[in-house]
Amino acid sequence: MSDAPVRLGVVMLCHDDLPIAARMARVWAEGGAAVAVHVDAKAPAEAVETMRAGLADLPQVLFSPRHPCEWGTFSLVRATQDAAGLLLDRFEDVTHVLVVSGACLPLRPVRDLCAYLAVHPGRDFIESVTAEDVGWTVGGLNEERFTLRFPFSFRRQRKLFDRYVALQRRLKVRRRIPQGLVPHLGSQWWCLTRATLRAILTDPRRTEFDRYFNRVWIPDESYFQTLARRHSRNIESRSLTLAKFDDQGKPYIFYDDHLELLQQSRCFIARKIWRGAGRLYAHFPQGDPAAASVAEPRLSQLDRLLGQAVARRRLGRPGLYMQSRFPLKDRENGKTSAPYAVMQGFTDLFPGFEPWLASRIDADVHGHLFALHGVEFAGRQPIGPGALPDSAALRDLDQRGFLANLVRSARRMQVWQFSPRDAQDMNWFLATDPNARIFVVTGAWAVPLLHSGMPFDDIRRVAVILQRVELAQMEVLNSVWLKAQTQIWDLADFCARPSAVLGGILRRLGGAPEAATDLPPMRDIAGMGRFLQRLRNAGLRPQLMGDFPATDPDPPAAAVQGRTAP
Amino acid sequence: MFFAEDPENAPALNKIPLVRWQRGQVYVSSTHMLLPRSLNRVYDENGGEKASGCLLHAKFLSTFVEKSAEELTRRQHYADSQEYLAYHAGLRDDPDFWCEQSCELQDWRQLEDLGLISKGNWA
Repeated sequence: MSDAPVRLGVVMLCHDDLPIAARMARVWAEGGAAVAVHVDAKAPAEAVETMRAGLADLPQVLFSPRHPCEWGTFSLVRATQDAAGLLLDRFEDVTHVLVVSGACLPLRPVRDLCAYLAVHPGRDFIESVTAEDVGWTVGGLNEERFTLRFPFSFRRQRKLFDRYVALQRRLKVRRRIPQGLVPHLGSQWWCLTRATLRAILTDPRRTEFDRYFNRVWIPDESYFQTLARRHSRNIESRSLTLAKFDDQGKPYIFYDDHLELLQQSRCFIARKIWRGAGRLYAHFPQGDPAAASVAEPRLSQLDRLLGQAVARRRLGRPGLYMQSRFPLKDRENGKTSAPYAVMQGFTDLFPGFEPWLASRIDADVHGHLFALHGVEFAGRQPIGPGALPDSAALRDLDQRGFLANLVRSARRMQVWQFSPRDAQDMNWFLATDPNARIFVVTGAWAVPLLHSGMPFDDIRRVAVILQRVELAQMEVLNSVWLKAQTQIWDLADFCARPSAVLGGILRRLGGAPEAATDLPPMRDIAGMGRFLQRLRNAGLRPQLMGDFPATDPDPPAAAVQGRTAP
Repeated sequence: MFFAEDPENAPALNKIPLVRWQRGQVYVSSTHMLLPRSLNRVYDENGGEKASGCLLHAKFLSTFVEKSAEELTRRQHYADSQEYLAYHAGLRDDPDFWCEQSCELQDWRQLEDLGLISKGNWA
């Protein structure tokens, strides 16, 4: 620990909200710092007078020459230079100069900061990253900040600004960067030692540098950051001021309910603070009155929270469709929120499939949720998970919303039955959703037809429709856009080894595969070969059932014996 | 409960009650819909969430049957008070709004978890 006394000088840049700025200047001054206040020349005269009068009792508060300031221009650098020069000239004992704005709030006492600086003697706290490596600037201009000219205001003359940039790019105009300078960028809220700052302000080439930076874009984020690299021997590339930006590059504003978070962050200074955050202004700076603390700022929790906010704004919660999040198709960032399973063809073979499956896996096993006549919730309840009603009309108003809400609001995994008899509108949605597990026995819809006892002519007509629907669905499930996990068997294949297939499904759905040895009662498929042949004879070409020999007066076992399981 | 088989005619559940007002803007249907059209886009279409909230609308109180009868005589509502006709008819049988899926309102964090509101960009 160094014994050299640290005296802090504070350059305070104020634009509006002068009453709050005056209050902050008093906090800094009464904490023992020398303060040079720069007030934007555009601020109303009477407000500035009030501020001056209010701070007249503090000899350690100076007012520096006023410049009209505009965001992104050199005027801010000029203001900082003047105010910093004033501090160094008038207060011989100032060892460090810190730049804050009128909207910055010291979270810890000035003596904490002084003690912290004393532990790191001769160190310049200034975020300074080479322009090539910067990835954070929103809007693109990194290196071009230094090689193009920016005579127009970004905020007031946006069109001219953009056009002039485009023109220079097209003409390949490049400014020469002064020899010996390596462009660096970083936060304008820095804390430099007297020696470094003095060297920057009295640099023999300062006129040349100032002229150059006068046309650089946002020079307050690059002037001191670049020149510190030239003069400092000990740069700590980070800011002592907590300043976070959101996804759009706007600074985060802190409110009263961030009090605890800010307290735990142990940062020295935070910005921006909402002008009405009375509790924050009353509470901070906060510290141990007995002894100064040199504790390091601890940003992890704050970073996590702000990171969550950025992620929420940019990516949102997967599978959520609501008032303020209604993603376009394929921009959902997660079409649904959790895995779910769709079973096709199984209930056609096993009438008792639903309860059988429900007792073997931890899931809500529904019937045909997309049946045309209505929603078949588990147990045929009129109201399902998320208080979704079983009305077909309500479901069909927004099938995507119905499905996503069901999966999102249910506590357990959702499993439902599907068939070509159901509404097919969600096929692409299901196929492109990585959360979907789709198990299909193709052609199983023929089994109930075989046992229907309907006139054959009707059966033929129904078979034509169902086959066309299922073929269209298979095309979707075999597309290159498939993101769902699918497993597809044809009817003959499945009937050859139902236990093995169901065991595999149980395992995929988190159940015990052994539980599949005890199969539910299965509909008889004897006569399927003959039945399919009759359909062929009637002009249909059954494509989805697999191989059933055309002549099978025998029991089903004989029909499947010839097949080898793949 | 109401409009189950006629969802297209069900009442709107969205509101845009907070608008930084400028000349040329107008509420078309109460606070449910605004013109120009772009003002209604209070949602993100690229997957992100914008900030949104809930209004606790205590509509179906014990006095509602009376009120709906009154509204029907006043006939001040849109579409011939279709909404109030439906309420009036539905409430005559003293229905139960509670179902297995109902849960007690706790706080705004619960509403956020349920996906009814979002903090959007707020930290």
